[in-house]
This record gives sequence, structure tokens and C-alpha cells, in this order.
Amino acid sequence: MEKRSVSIAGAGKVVGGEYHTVKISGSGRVEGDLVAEELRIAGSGKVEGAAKVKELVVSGTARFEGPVEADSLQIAGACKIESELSAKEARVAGALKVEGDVKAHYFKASGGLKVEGDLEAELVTLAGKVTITGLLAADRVEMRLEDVSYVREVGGERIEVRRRARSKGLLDELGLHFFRRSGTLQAATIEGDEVYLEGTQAKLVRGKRVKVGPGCKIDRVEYEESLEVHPDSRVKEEVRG
Amino acid sequence: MELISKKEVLRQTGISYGQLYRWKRLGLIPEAWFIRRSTFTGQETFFPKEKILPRIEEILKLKEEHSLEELVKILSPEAAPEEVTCEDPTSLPAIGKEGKELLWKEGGYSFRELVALAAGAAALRNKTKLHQARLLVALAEKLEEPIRSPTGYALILAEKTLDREGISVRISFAVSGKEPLQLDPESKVLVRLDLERLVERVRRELGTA
Repeated sequence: MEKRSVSIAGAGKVVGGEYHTVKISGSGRVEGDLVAEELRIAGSGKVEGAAKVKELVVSGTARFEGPVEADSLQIAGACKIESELSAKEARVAGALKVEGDVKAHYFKASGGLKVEGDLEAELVTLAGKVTITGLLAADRVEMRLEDVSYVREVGGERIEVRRRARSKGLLDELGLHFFRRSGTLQAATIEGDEVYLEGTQAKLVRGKRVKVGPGCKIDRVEYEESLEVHPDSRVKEEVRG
Repeated sequence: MELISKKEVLRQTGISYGQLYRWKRLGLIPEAWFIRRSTFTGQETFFPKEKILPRIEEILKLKEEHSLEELVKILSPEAAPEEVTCEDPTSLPAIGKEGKELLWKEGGYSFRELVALAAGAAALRNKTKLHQARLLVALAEKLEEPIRSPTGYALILAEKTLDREGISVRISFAVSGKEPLQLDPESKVLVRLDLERLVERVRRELGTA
């Protein structure tokens, strides 16, 4: 049987179930669990159950009260997931808050990201303000810092944390750049085979090859093969082996 | 339970941080084995030594011939259950010929049902009676969540004798629960099974079958 498609323009609600496409433009909610090929929320939308969707696009604001599973997730705007998120590919521009764990193959976010569990993926690229209460783990982790970010634990093969090279803005023009805080990352533990850090405050960094770039304060570095520390940075204790 | 630090695991096995985190993500190393403890350097992760070292050895050995995705099906606690159907449970050594009398249908046994049969077969090997082993099968077959993440679960088959006015009645019963699972002193434990070991065994035998 051909699956139904529904579209809400204005205000309305959709009963949960299986659909081909659900489009919400305006204000709408889905009552119950949703299975769909495509869910597009432009405006304001809410899913009051679990969502299992191939292609999920949010432009505007959305709230998911249950777990979200998507092949492709694209968020431009603000989105809150009150449970877990699993996606093959997730791209977030704007704000995303997940109140559970995130699992993905590819995860990219710029703007504001808050995860109240672990974030695990093959490749993670983050820019902006990030708060991860648990573990951030990926084969490759790339962070471009702005503002103050916090991640309890970072782990993976290659970890790269850089302060964003910023273009000159109005504050800089006026010579007020000291009002702007450069990005920092606060972490308890960072572990990787290759680790490069800038602007990072951490209790413990462990790796095979560790490079501590500018602006770091690290209590203890344990390394196997090599360690380089930028003269602007402070490492209290260096341990080899 | 003897614990081993993450650093020591890496040193002893020669695996990289990347491998450890990747295997964790894929579920090849169960979440429950990551135990966080405070140490002088802050929080540190430890593992149950007698579980993590054989598991890594197994992954390293099997990954020569299998892709990581295949390995997940063979080893991972949560990945396999729904995808499995087995036509001939007695072909698994964990069930074997002892399990033959426990079968209740022609074929199409799910992973959970195989674990249940293996529990029953283990009981029969411990010289319990058939009707007692069946209690264990009936119990285990209902354990959805514990079979998905079996760490710390135990199954017990026990009996108890009641004497009333010269009549003695013996009652057999099966229980499951998180360790330390205990029974009152008057109950006699006939078989005690570590669910995790049972699940692992069935999984491994399915993978190599």
C-alpha cells in the first residue's frame, strides 16, 4: 500500500504512525510514534513519541519527546531531543540539545551543542560552544573553539582542538578585542593516539604523540613517543611511558 | 573481581586508543565493562581483568578473517539477538545432545531462545531432572533486557524441601537477578549460571558455526 503523506500549514496535529512524508510548516505536532521516509519541520514542530525517519530536516524549532533515529539529520535552527539520538549523518547549524547519548557515523555541529550523555561517532567536527557531560569518542575528533566548551572525556585515534582563527570583527576594529574571550576547552581527560591541543585546560592528557599548542594548561601529560609543548602553555607534569 | 586500568590494558595488549574507543563504539567491548574510579590523577577507567583481556585477544584473532561489522554480530551483546534464527540448536555445543529434549519447536530459534536452551542444557549436564531444567529454560526465555546486557546477571535453579506432619514435599524453582543473588539458607542451589558467560558462549558458537 502506498504510504500516506501529510502536510500541516498553519496549526495542526498528526496522529502517529507510518507515513511517507510529514511536513510541518507553521506549528504542528505528531501525537505518538512516527515512522517516515521524510520529516520536514519549518516553523515549530513537536513529536510526542519516538521518531524513526530516513531524512529529517529541521529549520525552525523542533522538540522530540522520544528517541530519534535518522539516516540523515539536518538542523538549521533549534532542536531539543529529550532522549537518545542515532543518525548515520548529522549536520547541525544552530542549537541542538540532546538529553541522552548520541551515536552517529558522521556528526558535524556548529553553533551550540549540548549533550547530556556520550557522543560517539566515526568522525566528529564541532565548532562553537560545546557541552558534553559524558564521553566524546570518535576515530577522529576535530574541534574549533569559540567561547567556553566543556567535555568531560575525549577519546579517539586523532584528536585536534584548535582555537578558531577569527576574522577581524567590529570589536577588533575598535581595539576592544580583549573583551572577547578566546575559545577554551575544559576537560578532565583527553586520550588519543595523535593529540593536538590549543586553548585547552585539562587534568590529564594521554597519547602516543602529543602536541600541546598555545594557550593550554594541563596538569599531567602521559605520552609514549613524543611530546611538544608550546612556550605559551603550561604542563605541570610530563611522564613518558 | 580484579580490575585492570585502561593504560595497563593498552600496554599489555598493544592496541591503540583509537582501537579501544572504536571497539567500544561498535559494542565489541560492552559499556558495562568500563568502570570509572577516582585515582590521584582524577577519574580513571578500569576493566574487569578476566573479561577484557580474553575479549581483546579474541577480537585481534577474529579480525584477521572477519570485518568489524561481522565481529559485532559474533561478539557484541546487543547487536545479534534479533537477527539470529537457528534451525538446529543442538548443533551448538552449548546446547548439544543434552538440549535435545528441551526443544519445543521444529526450528527458527531466536538468540534468546538459544540462550534459554543453553541454560537448560547446562542444568542437565549438572544432573538435574528434565522438568527442573525446563524451569530454567522457561525463565531464561523471558529475559529480554538481561540477555541484551547480561553483565552481572545470574540464573539459579534450586530446590527446597518442606516437611509437614511426616509428609515431605520437594519444590524446584528457578530465579534470575543481579549478583549478589542469594537464596534463603534452607534452599539448596542445584545450578548457578553466570548469564554473561552463557550469552557469550552461545554467541561465539553461533559465530563460528
